Amino acid sequence: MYAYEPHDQLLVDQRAAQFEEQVERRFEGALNEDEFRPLRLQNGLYQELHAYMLRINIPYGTLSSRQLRKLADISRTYDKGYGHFTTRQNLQLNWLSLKDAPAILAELASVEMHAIQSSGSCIRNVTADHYAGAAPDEIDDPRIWAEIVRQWSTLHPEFAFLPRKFKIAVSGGGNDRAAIAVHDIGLKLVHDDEKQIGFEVQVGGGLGRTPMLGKVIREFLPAEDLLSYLEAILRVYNQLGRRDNKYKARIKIMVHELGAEVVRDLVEDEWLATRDSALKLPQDEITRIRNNFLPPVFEDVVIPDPDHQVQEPGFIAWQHTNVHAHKQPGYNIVTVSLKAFGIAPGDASAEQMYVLANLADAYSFGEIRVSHEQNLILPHVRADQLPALWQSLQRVGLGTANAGLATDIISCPGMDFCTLASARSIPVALAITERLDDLERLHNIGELKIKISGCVNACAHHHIGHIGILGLEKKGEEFYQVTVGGRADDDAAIGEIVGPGFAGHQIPDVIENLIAVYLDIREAGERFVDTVKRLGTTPFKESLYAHSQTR
Amino acid sequence: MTAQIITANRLDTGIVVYLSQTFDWTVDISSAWVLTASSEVEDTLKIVERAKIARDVVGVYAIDVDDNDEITVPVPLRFRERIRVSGPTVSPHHA
Amino acid sequence: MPILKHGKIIDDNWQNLADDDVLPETGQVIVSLTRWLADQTELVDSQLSLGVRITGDVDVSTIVSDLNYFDLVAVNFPGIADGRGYSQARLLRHRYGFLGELRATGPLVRDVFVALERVGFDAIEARDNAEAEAWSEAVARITVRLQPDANSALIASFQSAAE
Repeated sequence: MYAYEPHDQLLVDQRAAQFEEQVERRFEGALNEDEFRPLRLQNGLYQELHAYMLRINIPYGTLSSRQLRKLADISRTYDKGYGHFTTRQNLQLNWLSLKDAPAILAELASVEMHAIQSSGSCIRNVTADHYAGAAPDEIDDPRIWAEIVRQWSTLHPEFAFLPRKFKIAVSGGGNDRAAIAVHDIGLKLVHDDEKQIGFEVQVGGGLGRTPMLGKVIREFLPAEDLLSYLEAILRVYNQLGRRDNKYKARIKIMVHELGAEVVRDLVEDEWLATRDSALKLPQDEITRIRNNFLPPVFEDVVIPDPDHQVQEPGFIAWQHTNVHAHKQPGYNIVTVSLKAFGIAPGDASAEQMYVLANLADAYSFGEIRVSHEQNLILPHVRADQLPALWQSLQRVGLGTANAGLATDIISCPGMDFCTLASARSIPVALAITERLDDLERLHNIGELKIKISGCVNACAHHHIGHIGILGLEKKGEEFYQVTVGGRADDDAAIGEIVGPGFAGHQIPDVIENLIAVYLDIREAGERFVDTVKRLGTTPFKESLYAHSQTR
Repeated sequence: MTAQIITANRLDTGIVVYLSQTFDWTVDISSAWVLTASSEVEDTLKIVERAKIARDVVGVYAIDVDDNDEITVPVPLRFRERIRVSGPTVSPHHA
Repeated sequence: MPILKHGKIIDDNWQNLADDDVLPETGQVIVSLTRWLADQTELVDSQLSLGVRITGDVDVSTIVSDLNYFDLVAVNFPGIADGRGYSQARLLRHRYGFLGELRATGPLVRDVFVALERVGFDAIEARDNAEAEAWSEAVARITVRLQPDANSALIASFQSAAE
């Protein structure tokens, strides 16, 4: 984990103190709401339907047990004792007062955390593969580079007031688990012919009202040039990105309107002028950051004979879905599902956070990760300790064996909390979960990613759900548009709308229907997305609109 | 016109409030001032904007409510506004 | 609105000329880029000190050859959320080496003073006296720099905390 240097600590301390003064000026009337809004947003604070919401950054999804305990403390002291993990590796607290916000920022600073730029038209929390440092297929640990980007982007004087929000994601170079194709900038770690580390750079991905996949504008960027290249992209965007229409202000529209070729030329020209500037990363600086992410001291583990391990079906099912291969023999990556029956996707109670912090200390070198799929990860678990871990997780409702399955639903807060929402998301997720609450059946269906957004802003990434659900409003009534075939892996694709929308109560039937079609026509070993890729969406559409009542 | 009430969120706590006939902000929608003429709504919004009480809130706007004679408490017509009245339709089960 | 120069409130002797204002004989005038492009010969031949004001849509690379004529470039910020001027200043100061007064015109509040100075502005039009007088306090609030500034071609290390 990155340990703050004195100047990193000073920055977050100063920032918390600055916000305290800004809040005072707001209360005194020295700042009006128009002036104050961008300042509070750049500290992660939103006015939502019922209260203020604070979005706390968990850079590249890495948390220590100490930090998780602090988040639990904060949720108990200032909120209602729970928090909501988001698709951007943030934690949101939904029930805050403005007057408490400066104190919370100071508490976060005490454990090397912050909410800087977690909202606003600026460079947001940098995200990365949640298996970083543990995945067998990575070229390099993406957190090293994400941390470098985090530092560079934090309070960057030139890029605090961009045309729109700006999201950067880093993948370790193996399978893409960071959904880089749907980010404003997606960075994929790659080797060149001489085995030097660098990045493939994608620009202009994004979801929202106009979903688009990023375009590769550079096949290989030497690692030491990372920041000058990012700065070149941002400088071009800051000047040319549209500011006349908020729905056309993301860089994806600029790339679409100018064309990727033109954008590449503009960026490369700008970069030529800056690549040999102070932004070139010195090797000793890269080494300093890298040394913060050295692997833990792994032990020699005698891998248990499966026949002699716990034979409980629940454990076996959990092992099947929630336990993943690790680069170190004898170790595993464990997904802790935040998608238990009856719980809003991504929600964790303070008690669960405390327990998980303790389990991380006992079983995973004190490390926790937050995935963009709204689950928590214990990245380094000994294979022989899996049964004990599972039993402990079970006791606090965190042992659900559904990672990657149909009930591992991604959902935004929706209209139950969010001012932007057009419809509710959480009740739809809960209804689907209730309908599919049969572990054996879920395992038979296999990998199926369902994502539910409560408005076109697409916070739950519905466009890249194998099944995507988008909540909309017509004449004061909620209704839901369904897409099929989206995915965020290396074959990233935007889902296709299947037809007219449905009422909320019809959605569980719709899901059942789509699953039935898949089970009927799948070939051996084929996942839902594979079947859609092979046969297209037609069989699904035909079945859906033949059997279900449309609006 | 459809009857309307005026709503906002408190600046300090962020909670939902309504304008009462005594020109105070109240959390109790049954104390909200029901306006029935559009000119009245416009005038009231303008007065609120310039009044001292505007400093205590953010996001002042008017919402449509059902206000027939049998209803003593105004009921917002839009679903979103009903959620603002009664809170989320889901509760954290682990609280 | 008060003008801060290097953090001190100054008497502003620059006169902002509208495009149809008569050109004075002497003094310091700021004209729009449109007027500069239209009346360039007249302006250069005058006894005036010249400044130009630019809006966010100006590609500053197109005025590089004109910079020698200007003692001042005023970059306009129509609101706090429009950040194009930060890149314009950075390019003018750092890339194109403009050495005259680089003035951010607003109304601007104390919360952006540090960022403005870091991208190369040496003069700021504050929203009111209260904001202008808060300059010292405002720039002391955040002293950590995680990026090189426009005025420093190189900084000692990539990260440095200002003293």
